[in-house]
Amino acid sequence: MVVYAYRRSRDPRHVAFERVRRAFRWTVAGATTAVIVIVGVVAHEIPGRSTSAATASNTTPAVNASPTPPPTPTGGGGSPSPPVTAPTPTQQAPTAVSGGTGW
Amino acid sequence: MVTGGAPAPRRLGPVGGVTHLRALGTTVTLAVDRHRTLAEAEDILRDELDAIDRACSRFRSDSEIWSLYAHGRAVRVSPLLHQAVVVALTVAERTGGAVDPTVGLAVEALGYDRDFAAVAALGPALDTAPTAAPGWWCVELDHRRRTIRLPPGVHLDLGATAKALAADRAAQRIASSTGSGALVSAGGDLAVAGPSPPGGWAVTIAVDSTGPLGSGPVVAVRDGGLASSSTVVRTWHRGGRRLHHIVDPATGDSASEHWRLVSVAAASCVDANAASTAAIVWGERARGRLEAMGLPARLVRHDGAVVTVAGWPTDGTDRSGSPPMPVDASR
Repeated sequence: MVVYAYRRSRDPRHVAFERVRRAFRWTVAGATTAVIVIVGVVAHEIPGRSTSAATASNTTPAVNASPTPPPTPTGGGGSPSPPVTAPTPTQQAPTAVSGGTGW
Repeated sequence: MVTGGAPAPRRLGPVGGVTHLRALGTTVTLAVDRHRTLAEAEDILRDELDAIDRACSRFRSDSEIWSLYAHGRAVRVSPLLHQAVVVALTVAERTGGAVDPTVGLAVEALGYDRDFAAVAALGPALDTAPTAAPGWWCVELDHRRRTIRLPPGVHLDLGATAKALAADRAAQRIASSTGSGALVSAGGDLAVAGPSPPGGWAVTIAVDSTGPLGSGPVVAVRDGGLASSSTVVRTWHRGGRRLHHIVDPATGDSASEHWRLVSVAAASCVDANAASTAAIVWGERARGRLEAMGLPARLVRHDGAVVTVAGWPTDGTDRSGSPPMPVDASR
């Protein structure tokens, strides 16, 4: 009842105090929203160590910025895949040579 | 840069055609199973090789990869360079770091800092001891923005994977554009796509990809890719010590010479190249790892012994007439 009486008070001091509280609430809410928006914009605009590198595609490596290699570096990337058919012996005249080289 | 200066085009079998050109510091062979598509296929191949050279060459000051070394900041790159770096990092991950693109400065420190034809065969001892590569995980990619950031002091060597990527891309594009079966061999790392000729594409396995067609055993390839890596070609000497171009990222030095030649067949040229290069770095452990991956492979030790795994045929079809080397089954 005391509270009710307080809220309903027409005392100018209480009215002013209520306005200050209301303004403070709006200020906190606005500042929080602004911080969220700014952080989102910065994270969106500045590329770099974002998780998008690891999740953008299933066919790309989980690139990270760790100073050390992942504990199981081949775990997520699989391994080179075998051909559908293995090479077979042949007596045909060769078309190309596969040997050592570099670039 | 793609140039001519190679043997003239010739017919292949009853209807196919084959031609050669110089690119990426090596000889590139193109074969199609329909001769009438050869000219169009060659145009496509030249386009792909030129594009990969402009994007990835560490020997051209105007190549796009040099833009990554500017300020250690994120750089937006072309779709092709982005793809080449993604492929290189994927290979690094899949090989447990044995094939790592961040060996760029290590390779340069060993003396391979220009087109191989211009690398001095002999030179004084190296100024500094080799150091381990920074590691592929330090490369920062943003797929959505297509940016790459390298920490200062990190250079990439995309040589192995980019060449294989070019072969895969070209073969696929030729097959889809012309309807012809195609074989593209970039310095011995080859990709096939589309219908293969009856019996498959016949390929000689040799230590040196510039060697004659009859210099080793011949196998037929019908799909995917085939690549070979060797420690006895592309070599040079510094201070009396022989170096080669396959660098162990863990040491920054030329990999141990347990194998002189490793040839691997895989689902693509990129995968084959990754496995053959990694096998050199893995040394003695390579045989078991390739077997576990189910990758058909032929490994030649430095004493000449040949080991085959995962369905690679034993050497019995050497067109040079030389008998197959003994296989030591204990290893």
